Amino acid sequence: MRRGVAAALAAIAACVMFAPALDAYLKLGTTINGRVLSLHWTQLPIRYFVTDRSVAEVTSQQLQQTIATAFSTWAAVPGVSLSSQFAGFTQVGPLDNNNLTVLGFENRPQLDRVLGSTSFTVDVITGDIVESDIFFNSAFAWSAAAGGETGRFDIGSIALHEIGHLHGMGHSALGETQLIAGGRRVIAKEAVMFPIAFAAGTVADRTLRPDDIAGIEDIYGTSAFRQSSGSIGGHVTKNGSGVQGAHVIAFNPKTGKLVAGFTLSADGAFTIAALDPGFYVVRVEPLDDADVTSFFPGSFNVDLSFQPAFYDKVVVVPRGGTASGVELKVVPK
Amino acid sequence: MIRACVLALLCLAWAATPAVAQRHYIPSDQPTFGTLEVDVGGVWTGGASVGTVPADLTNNPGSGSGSFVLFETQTRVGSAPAFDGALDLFLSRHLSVEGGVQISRPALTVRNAKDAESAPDVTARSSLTQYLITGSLVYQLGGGAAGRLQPFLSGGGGYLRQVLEGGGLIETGNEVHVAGGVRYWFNRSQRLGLRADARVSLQSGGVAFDHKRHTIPEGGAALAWRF
Repeated sequence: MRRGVAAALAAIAACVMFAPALDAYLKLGTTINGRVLSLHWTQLPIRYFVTDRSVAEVTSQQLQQTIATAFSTWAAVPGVSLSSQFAGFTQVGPLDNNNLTVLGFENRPQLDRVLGSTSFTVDVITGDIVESDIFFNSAFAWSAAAGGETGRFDIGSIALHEIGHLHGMGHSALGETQLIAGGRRVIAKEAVMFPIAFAAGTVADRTLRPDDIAGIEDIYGTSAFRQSSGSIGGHVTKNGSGVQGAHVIAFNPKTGKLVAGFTLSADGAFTIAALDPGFYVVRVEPLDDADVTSFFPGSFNVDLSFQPAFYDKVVVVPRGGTASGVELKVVPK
Repeated sequence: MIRACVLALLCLAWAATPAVAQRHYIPSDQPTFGTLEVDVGGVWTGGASVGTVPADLTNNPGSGSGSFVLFETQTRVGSAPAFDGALDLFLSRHLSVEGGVQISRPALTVRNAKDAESAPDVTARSSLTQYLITGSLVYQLGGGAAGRLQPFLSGGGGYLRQVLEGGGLIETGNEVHVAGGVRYWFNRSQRLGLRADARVSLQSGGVAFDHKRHTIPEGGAALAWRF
C-alpha cells in the first residue's frame, strides 16, 4: 500500500522538492497540509544502491567507493547523527521510480549544463523521504583520479554535492560568479553546496566548508550539538517592508568561518543556525550570483533590487541560544 | 538590673574605643611585615587591535590559486576607564605582594571594509565587560622610608575574563605587566595617601584571535589606605 502511495506521488515530488523550509538554513522542504516540513531522513542508516554502469575512466566499483566516501564525509561532521549503508549494485537506473534509493550514471545529453541531479519521492502524509535518487550525467567526461584529471569533472566533488541534497540540503549562495556566454563561471565559492561546480580537473570540492557543515548540523544535529551551538535571527527590510530571498552572511572573525542563510518569508525574516558561539559580522546581499531558480521555486518572489550592506552591530551568538533582533535595513539599487 | 548591666557594658565599650583608636593610629613611618594597604581608584586602559582577517572564498582552481576576499575585517577592543582596586600585604619594608582587580567596559568594534560588491564600509559595535584579576610583586624604592613621596616598581601577571554583550559568551585570557608609580602620603604617618601609577599590560587570549600579546598602556590614580 505504501509503495503504491509513493509511486503515485513520484510525479509531484519533483515539483515540491525545492520548496524551502522556513525555519533556518536553506533546506529542501515540502508543504504538507499548509505546513512546510524540511526533508530529512528519519530512518537510518540510509540504504542505497549503485547502478552497475561504468563510464570511461570511472568504473561502477570506483563510483561506489566514491559514493561511500562522500556519505562518510557528511556523516563525519561533528555533532550530527547520520549513517548510510551500501545495499549492493543494481541494474536499475537512478531515475527509475521503485522505492529504492539508487545512485549511478545516466546519459542525458540534452541536459548540457547538468552534471548531476537529485530527486525525491516523499510521503505527503508524514513528510518522510521514501526514495531519493542521484544521477551523474555520463554525457560529461568524469574522473575518479586522486588528484583529478584535466578536462574531466571530479566524481568525488559532484557526489559530495549531490549527496548533500540527498540529505535534504538546498543550495548555498556563498560564491561569486561572472556571466559568460552560455552561462556563469565561478570566480570563487565557499560551499560545496554552491549550485555551480568548479572547472573540470579540480578536486577542491571534496572538502566540506563551514557553510556545508552548518547546513548538515542544522538538519541532523544532535541535542548535545544544539546545546553547544547558537544561531542568529532577524529581518531584512527595505523602506520598511520585508525583503524576501536576501542572502544573509554571518562571518566569525575569530574562526574565519562564513555561514549563510536566506530571508524566507515576506517579512524578511531569517535564521542562521548551527553557529559556533562567538561574535559575528553580518552582511546581506541580493541573490545575484546564480539563477534564482537554483535556490527557490519559480513561485518564490525574490527581491534582487537592493545594495549589499553590513549590520552596524557586532552580533554575539551565545552557546545554546539565539542572537535575535538583528534588523538589517537595505537601500534600493 | 539587666538594663543597668547593658548600659555599663556600653559605657565600657565606649570608653575602650579611644584606646583602640589610639593604638591603630600610632604613627608608623615604615611598613613592616603584615602591614596592609588598600587602594581604590580608577584607571584608563588603552585599546588594541586584536585581529585583522579577510572573509575569504576559495578561488576557482581553474583560474588561479589563493583566495577571493569578499571583505576585510579589523577587530579592536577600545580604550575605556576602569575601576581599579588592590590589596597589598607587606613582607618587609621594601617588598609587598599585591592582589588587584580591574573592571571596565570597553567597546568591541569590527571594521568591515573593502567589500567585493561595494557594500559601504561599516564599523560594527558591541561592548564587553572586562575583568582583570592580577597578582604582583611590589618593590618600594627607598625602603619605605619616611617621606611623603614614595616611588615603587611592580610586576606580575593576571587572568583576563571578558563577558560579551548580553552575557551569553565569556572569553578568557591572560596578561603580564610591569608598572611604576608613586605614593603621596597626606601625613608622615603614611596612613592615607594617593597612589598614581603607569602600567604596561601585555594581554593575550580573550576576544583576541591573532595569537599575539597586545600591549595595553594604562594609567591610574587611587586612594591608598595603609593599616
